[in-house]
Amino acid sequence: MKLVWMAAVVGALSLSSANSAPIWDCSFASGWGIDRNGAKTPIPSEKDFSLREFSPPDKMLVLHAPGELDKKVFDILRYEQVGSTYFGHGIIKDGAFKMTVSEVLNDNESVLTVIFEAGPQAAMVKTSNCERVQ
Amino acid sequence: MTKRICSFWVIAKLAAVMLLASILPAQTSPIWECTSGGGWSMKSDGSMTEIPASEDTVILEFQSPNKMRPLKASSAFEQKIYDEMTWEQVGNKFYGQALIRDGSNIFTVSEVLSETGSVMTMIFRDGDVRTAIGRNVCKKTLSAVANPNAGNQTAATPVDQKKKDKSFWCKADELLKVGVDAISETDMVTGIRTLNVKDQKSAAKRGNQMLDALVNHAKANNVRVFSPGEANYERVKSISDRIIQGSHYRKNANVRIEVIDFEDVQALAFGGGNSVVFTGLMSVANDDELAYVIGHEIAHNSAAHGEEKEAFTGFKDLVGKKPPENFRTAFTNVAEQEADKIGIIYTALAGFDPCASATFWEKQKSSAYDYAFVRSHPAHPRRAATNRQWCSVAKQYWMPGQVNPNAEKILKCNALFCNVSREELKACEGGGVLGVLEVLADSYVKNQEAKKEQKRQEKQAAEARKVIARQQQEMPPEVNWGQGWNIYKGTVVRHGVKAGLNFAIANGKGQFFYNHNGQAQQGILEFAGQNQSGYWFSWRDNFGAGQLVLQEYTDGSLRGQMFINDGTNPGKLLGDWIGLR
Repeated sequence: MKLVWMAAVVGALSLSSANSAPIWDCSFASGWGIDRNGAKTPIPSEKDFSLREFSPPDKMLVLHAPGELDKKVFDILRYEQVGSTYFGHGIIKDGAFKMTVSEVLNDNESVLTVIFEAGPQAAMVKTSNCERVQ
Repeated sequence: MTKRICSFWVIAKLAAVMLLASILPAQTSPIWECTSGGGWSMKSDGSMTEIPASEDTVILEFQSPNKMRPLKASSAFEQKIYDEMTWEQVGNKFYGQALIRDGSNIFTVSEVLSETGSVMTMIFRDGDVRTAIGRNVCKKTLSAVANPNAGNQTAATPVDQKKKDKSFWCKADELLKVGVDAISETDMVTGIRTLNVKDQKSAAKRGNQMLDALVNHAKANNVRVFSPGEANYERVKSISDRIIQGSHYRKNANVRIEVIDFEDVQALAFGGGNSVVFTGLMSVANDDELAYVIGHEIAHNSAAHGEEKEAFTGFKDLVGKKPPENFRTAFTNVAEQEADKIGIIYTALAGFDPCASATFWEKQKSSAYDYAFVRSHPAHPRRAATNRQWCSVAKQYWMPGQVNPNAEKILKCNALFCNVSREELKACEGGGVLGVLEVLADSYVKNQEAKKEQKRQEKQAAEARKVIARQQQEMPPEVNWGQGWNIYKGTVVRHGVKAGLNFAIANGKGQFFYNHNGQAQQGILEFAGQNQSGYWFSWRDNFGAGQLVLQEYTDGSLRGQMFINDGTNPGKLLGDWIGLR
């Protein structure tokens, strides 16, 4: 399924006008969180992947995301490029649900942190293995 | 002097109330006092390390539209982070973020700050640590910041009205400025206005007088006060000269340190740059350790701890909140901790090993008795551990054997403290109001710190007393045995608790004494027989009777179990009986 997606996306991009924006294919590697008492907690692992393309000056175009919330998060994040690393940040307001997300994305890894405004989980870290496919 | 304090306090309060009432609506500027609640960090290899909670405190003031001003930060690094973060308020929460460039180190910081706490995440581009999540426990207060342009609601022309408002504002602000100048001084270490009714000149004068009195008292009692040229004097002078160059007194010629031949392991600060060192201290401390102690005393002078305590507790007395002795002691303890922190930086900047601040206390003896009462100084082990932490940070400024050429700059802001002073607003421009707020905020923080220290120590003292009571309970009672007894001391479990035991046996008969309800209880033993379990005795005391089985051990001790009669054989087990020769 992932290969189909990748092929379709990369193929479509190569057919379009010359596009040199980087694309990342990221798959969940590990993660953990802390609860409101500061205790370390596990987080659910993910099997799906994300495909994102940097859209200058500061956005990521979401080509594929594991879920609606992930898509919304990536849509909202704004990035700053420093060398080959991209630093993203955004505040997500999804109804009453609010959280702040940061991401540091480089050629082979993404580290994403989320701070939740409410709920038992205070914050979490998610690392993904990434590959620049373009 | 108390009258002077009182009048200024009343004037300041009245002026503040009048001013704030007249210029409503006022803007409110939230202030958070946050203490680290710990967290977790993750290295590049995925391994996790817990970040312990600490007493590091940061005080933040929101500055519209999108900044937080750190009124107090635990390090220059933390100060830099908050200086660079931008914030967005959503409801009653504040969302902050920044991309920080600290040399080649680049990382992103996010924080969500609520009324009671905050959660912060950091992701590092390079280095060993990849990411960290931390929690803070926060307390939010609202400081009213007067808006001098508000309140134009009369029928007068806008220009006239503005003139009139400004005139009133000016008068009130000037009044406040006079008041606040009289009751506070700018701390030369932190740059914050603190409650202190003595300017540096009068503090130096009084400190000098007190040191004179001590020196005269010593001379009158034939206690030697060392002079230039004498070895002890020259040793202290050569160390203190360098310490002064690494301190906030580096440009102040009026530092006076006397050396007195006295056995106390002690040095004292009298304020305004006046200190004394006793030879008792010099005999147990190497040069690095002596440098740390002198640095600590000079730090008390720099931070005007004596003057501050006098003014602070004086004010509390005046406003009818006479602080209990434990609070005063805890207030001093907080100052001692601050003097250690500053003194360690002085030590490092002067080219002495800052970790002598830890070894000095590690060498001092300690017991549960040190914790049994609220202390004006931190207990030795805690002090050693804290100083060990601080000195490892301060080592970056240490150039062995020489004064750090960047001392001036490092004293302004370093990894342990920062001077947050800025150009002060003049009277009529808000300088009075801001001055009052700054003094109030600083006093509030110090009050809270002292309260926290008092609470912590009172809890610790209660626990220490329990330990002491247990130690006393388990201490064998003193017994004056005559000749011919085989005497043993140890413990026995009687009445459900372990108690100190003293017993003796001779010719098949014996007596035992143990602690119960703070008194020594007596019992008797009679040899009953021997089998593979050991020697059997019958015993009796005022509360019951039973059997005791003892075995002889290779170290000469007699150990076994004590049983009480319950109709079975050998009876109900009470517990272990241990007797050492």
